Amino acid sequence: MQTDFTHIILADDDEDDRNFFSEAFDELKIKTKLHLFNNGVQLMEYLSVSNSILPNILFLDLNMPLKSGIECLNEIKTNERFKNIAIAIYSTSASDDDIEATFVSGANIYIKKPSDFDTLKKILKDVVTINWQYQTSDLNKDNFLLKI
Amino acid sequence: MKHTYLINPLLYKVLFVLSVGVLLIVASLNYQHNEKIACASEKVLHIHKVNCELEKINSLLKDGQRGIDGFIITKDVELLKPYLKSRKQVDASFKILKTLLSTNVVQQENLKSLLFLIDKKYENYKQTLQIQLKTDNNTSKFIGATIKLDNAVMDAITKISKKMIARENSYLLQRTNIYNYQLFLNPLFAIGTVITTLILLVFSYVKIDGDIRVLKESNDNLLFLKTSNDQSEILGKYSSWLWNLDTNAMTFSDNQYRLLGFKPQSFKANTTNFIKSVHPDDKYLVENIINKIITDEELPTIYYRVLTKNNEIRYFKSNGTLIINRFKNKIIVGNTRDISDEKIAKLDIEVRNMELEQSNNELISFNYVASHDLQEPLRKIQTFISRFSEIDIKNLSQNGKGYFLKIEAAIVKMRELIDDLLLYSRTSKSEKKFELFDLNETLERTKQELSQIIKDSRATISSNTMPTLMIIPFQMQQLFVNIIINSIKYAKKNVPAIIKIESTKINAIDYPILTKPVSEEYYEISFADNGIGFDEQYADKVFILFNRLISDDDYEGSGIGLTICKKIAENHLGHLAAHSSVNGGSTFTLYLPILK
Repeated sequence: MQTDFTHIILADDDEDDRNFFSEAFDELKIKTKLHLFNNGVQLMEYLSVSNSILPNILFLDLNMPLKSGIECLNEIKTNERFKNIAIAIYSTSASDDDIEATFVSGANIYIKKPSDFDTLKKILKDVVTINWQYQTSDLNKDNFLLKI
Repeated sequence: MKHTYLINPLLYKVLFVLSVGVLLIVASLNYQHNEKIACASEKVLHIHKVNCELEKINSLLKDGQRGIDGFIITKDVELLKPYLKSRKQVDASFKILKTLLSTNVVQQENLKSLLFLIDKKYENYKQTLQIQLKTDNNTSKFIGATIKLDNAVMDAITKISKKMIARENSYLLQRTNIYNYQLFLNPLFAIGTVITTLILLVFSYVKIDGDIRVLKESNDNLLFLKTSNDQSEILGKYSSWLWNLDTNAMTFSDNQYRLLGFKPQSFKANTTNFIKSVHPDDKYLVENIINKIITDEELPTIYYRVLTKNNEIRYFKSNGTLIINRFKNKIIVGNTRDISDEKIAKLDIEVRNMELEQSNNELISFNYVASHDLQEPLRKIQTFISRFSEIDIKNLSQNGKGYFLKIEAAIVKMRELIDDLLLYSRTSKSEKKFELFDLNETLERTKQELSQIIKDSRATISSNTMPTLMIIPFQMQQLFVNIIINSIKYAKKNVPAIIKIESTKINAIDYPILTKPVSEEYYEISFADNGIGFDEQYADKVFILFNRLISDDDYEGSGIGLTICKKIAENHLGHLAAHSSVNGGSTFTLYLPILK
């Protein structure tokens, strides 16, 4: 793992969202290496290769074809090699059921996709610069959903 | 049901034995009495015989005497015949007497004396005759002596005879008395027998007649009960049956046949015939149960299907208990009920429940579609709009700029609509967790949530002390929020909203608006404002989804807020009403039951 880059992965089936995401990082000018995947199957295939570079933060869309975000989350959290990856749920829905389910499965933060590009940039900046060590130890249901 | 016998069979047994006993005693007494009469008459006859024989002896002796006397006078041998005959006859009579008096000691003694005297008498006759034959002339002296002696003997005989007759006569008197007494008793006995028999007959008749009446009444009652039972079996679709486990005899009630589609008692009641009607898939089960009845001697409730004569599937439920009859036979008394209607209704409900569940699931997925799929393109449009830089907008024409702003506003409106709609459907289906909650706290939280809007609109909210009730706290807060926002939204231009909240305890009975009260007392919580109000005749329409009374562009709204409030009031088994007049402000009144 290289220390001067923050490795970030986004798994999202929506091309527009992937574009917003990478454009936001381009404008933020943070030293990141971004990996984009179109769905959960591709993501899990990448991760399961033994010498793959594991991300610092994994952004996971919930509603994806073939393999949903929650399925990926469960697979990752039950695997010894991946289970310490910080996972940010990145979804349109902010339904109580989804928040509850992902929290129980061990996601670190829940982000509702914003409807404003500047807000998106602010969120990504905040999330990437979070001290995950601290965030994880203090994790509870109330601060799980990211409030902007 | 416990049945007390009005007719006691033991009483009849006792009565019968008593009657037979009494009749036997009466008969035996009668027999004894008749015996006594026979005996008494026998004894009287006996006395008469004795007297007769004694008289006979006397007369025979006198006959002898006469013969001898005649011979002496006439010397005619022919005249001696009575004498010669008399001895034999006397002996015969004496023999009779001897047997007659064999039991009487005193008379026996008398008889001995008599015999001696008779012998003496005949000795005298002999001597008289011998003297007469030997000497014809010098005999008179002897004869005189002999005659004297003979007379004495004859006197003694007469005396002893009289004595004996007297004795027998004394017996006669005595025995005649006894006989008469017995004769007097005879009709008494007869009457007694007749009366006793009559009493027994009358008593038995009265008793039997009474019992027959009771029996007839019981029979009538039984007939009534049987008819009523038959009717209720038909109405209630059940039947009863008996199975004697010892004799294997079975009886089915009429309705058992009807339930199976047959005419009453149209086939022999037995297990084989019954199993013929059981549904093929349940035959094995029922056969097992029948065997189990034989071993366990009871029938716990079982459910099975039958095929009626018309090949119709019916659902049956049976159970039975063991009773022991008076012959110590084990009998299963069973009941069977046709539960098809309930079963079919239940299956119907299950199907409908499934359909409901399905449509509920469809609703949930619709919610998801609304929340996710509908919002997704909107969110993207908004994001793309936000990607327009200041320079991009400046490059647009004046008209273009206006359209662009209108697009932006329309999208915001649409998102609001979708959010409100989601909130409404969540209010309808979300879990209803009631807890005892202070409404003052609800108001406080509402004020906090709306602090910015309240501050901006310079609205004032006042309230008296509100109660603590069983409510769903977050829903109640939503209701408060929506009503207060509504008041602020529809305030008069440039007149800050003044909202007064008042709560009072009321009796449900005084409020016809509460059509089906769930508690005696309610809390009436009114939210009164000083806004633009609306025409009272549209009061009910404010609660209809998407229905807006004000179409003025100055007043924005989705037409969902108050519908949600109405729904929340209903979730609390309460009621929400609106009263208003144009420019006179509106009052929303919430009625909440006091739930425990």
